[in-house]
Amino acid sequence: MRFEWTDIFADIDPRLQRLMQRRRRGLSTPPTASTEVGEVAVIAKVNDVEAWYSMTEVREGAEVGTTADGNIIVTARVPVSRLQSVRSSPCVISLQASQSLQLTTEDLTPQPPSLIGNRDNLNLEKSLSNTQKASALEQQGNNVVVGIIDVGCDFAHQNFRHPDGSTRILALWDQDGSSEPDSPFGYGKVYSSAEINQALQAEDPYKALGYNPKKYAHGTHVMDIAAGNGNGTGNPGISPEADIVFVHFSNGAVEAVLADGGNAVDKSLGDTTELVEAVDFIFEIAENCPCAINISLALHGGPHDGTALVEQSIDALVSNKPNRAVVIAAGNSYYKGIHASGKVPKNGFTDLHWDIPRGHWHYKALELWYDKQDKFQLELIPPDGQSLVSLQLGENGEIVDEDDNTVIYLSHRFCDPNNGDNMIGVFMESRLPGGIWTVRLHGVEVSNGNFHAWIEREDGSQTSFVAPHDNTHTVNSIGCGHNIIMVGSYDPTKPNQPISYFSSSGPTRDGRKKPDFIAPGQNIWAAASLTGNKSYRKSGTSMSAPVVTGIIALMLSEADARNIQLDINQIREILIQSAENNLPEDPLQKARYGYGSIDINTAISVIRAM
Amino acid sequence: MLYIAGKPVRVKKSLLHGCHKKEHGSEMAQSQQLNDDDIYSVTIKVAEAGYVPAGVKLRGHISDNLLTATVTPEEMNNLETDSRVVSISAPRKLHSAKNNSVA
Repeated sequence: MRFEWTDIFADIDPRLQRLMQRRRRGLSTPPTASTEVGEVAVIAKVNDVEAWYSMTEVREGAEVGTTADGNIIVTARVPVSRLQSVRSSPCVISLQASQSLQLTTEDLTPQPPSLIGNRDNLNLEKSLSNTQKASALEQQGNNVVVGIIDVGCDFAHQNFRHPDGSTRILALWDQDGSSEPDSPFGYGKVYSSAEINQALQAEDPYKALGYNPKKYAHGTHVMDIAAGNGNGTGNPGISPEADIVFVHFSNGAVEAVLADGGNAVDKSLGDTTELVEAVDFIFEIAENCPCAINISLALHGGPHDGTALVEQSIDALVSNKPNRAVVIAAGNSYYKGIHASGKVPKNGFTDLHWDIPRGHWHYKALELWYDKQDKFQLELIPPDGQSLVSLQLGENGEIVDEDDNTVIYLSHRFCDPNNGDNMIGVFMESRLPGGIWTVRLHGVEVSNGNFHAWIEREDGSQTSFVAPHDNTHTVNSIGCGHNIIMVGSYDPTKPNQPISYFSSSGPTRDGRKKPDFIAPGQNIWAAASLTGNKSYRKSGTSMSAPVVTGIIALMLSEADARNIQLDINQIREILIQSAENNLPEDPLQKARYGYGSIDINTAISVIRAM
Repeated sequence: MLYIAGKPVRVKKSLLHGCHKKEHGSEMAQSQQLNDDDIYSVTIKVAEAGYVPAGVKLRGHISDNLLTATVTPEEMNNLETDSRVVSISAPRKLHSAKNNSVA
């Protein structure tokens, strides 16, 4: 046994400190009746309720009362990842973990107002401003296909069934299903609407079909936002009359049980090739019907200039026919310190400091891109300060242990085949010592000197660069294509609807505006899988992207009714014309908004005037 | 002798060769110790419309110049020397974009 000091933020309730320490080790805080994974219920004493509620990290609970010293006691739900930030706010006098909540993942019954605030303010229908509601429009997504590439399609939920009980799903391709000779691209299993309808007659439709979406499925929630009809929950999504094609994305989840019994889950899903094939599959099923596809999946690493083949492929598929769009989530990495940029001087060096917590057992990767005209030298220095290795441009190498196992793999690559730029990759296996690792860049030949670096996403825990952080360029790297619509998130439940604290920032590495738009993505209630007719709340750009997917479906439906065809450039232009353009002055914040939120009535008016 | 956390390690370096067409940061590019039996799903960009490189197992055409395929490490090496192959995207794992507050 040994004692070790920690650098966990100390000025906070020790029970919250423990959660923060567990998070650093990759241990998630489980959901309860009123919290999501990674959230904690807190009781706070604050001196300014408005300032408290204005923090987008704070999910509003109850205002309990006023103390003798004139302060106010409130309850709320706060992400464990943001506890230090919330506690450091000048309006917070004290912050304590709630002790009254019970662990449960079973009860989806809405909690009393004292726990979750006014639920009526949090459902999807009311999260959308009047101008974003479809209810007043003639077209509700009729004759349009909404494609969802995600995990977990609850085909039995009432929100995805016609009033007669039959399915609205044209096809469900389970990429992990048993392959058959006619499987798309040679793998997975496709369930037709006829097969789904037959399964819906059974007592256990999931068993009858041989497909189970699992509880709290991400894909069901996303699908409901874009295209749910509200038959079960009472709250319709954006395009409630659209047909649906769902691709259950290949699930590569690997679960590692840690020594203390917690789970460090690698929640990575399928890969970029399977994603491209999923997009192609949906467009094929849609045939000549207008089709908007939603992808609420993300990646940190990549060139961020639209040249990766996954982006080129989606660009090509979208532009292949009119009436097609692909919408991708911007990502939730704004505050995570996963991006760094700078300039390397000739004959000098620049350091990047990579903070790897002690006991961080996950695989880690860093990716750095710089101009094709420059030539850097890479040096890697572990926390003890002893330089491990230097790599010239065009070299690769690995650090191996006594048994010849690779512990670090490094690549310093000349001339990427897609954009010609140079790229450095540092791939660190698990169980390396924590501390500050230094990536030193020496300027050998410098005409530009600029670089951008990203730490790849690590579910369960996220390593970061040492502060101060450059949180620009944090957008999802698979969404930087020229024909892709990328969407950030704002919180519709707060006054003035502020940008969500997590919503990633542009621009792209080649200087283009991304995300393109923002939409409601925080505290969104939508369908809960395996419940038949209930909903639950989720937050993220996963939730804002399907809002825009649904809006595009409404636009395509309106255009289709008027025999108008819209190519992706026209779709984007109409969306830009319809954006509310209420952008902040601060250029750093402005880079998170794109063109702002979309007024659907304006978009429909533009189409009607065509 | 080099050490990480007191344990001896050594550096093995090589010149990057034979992987100029593979895309950035792919899982496949990390390891030089691929097994002959491994297969990978890849996206391939070709210079000539409709061209399918010999040896690969075609999965589907994405556009005139883009296709998906299954390849072995040996076939990957052949793609590197195929003048009609522009670039190869090895698969990269994706994550959901819900706000997993843990991360």
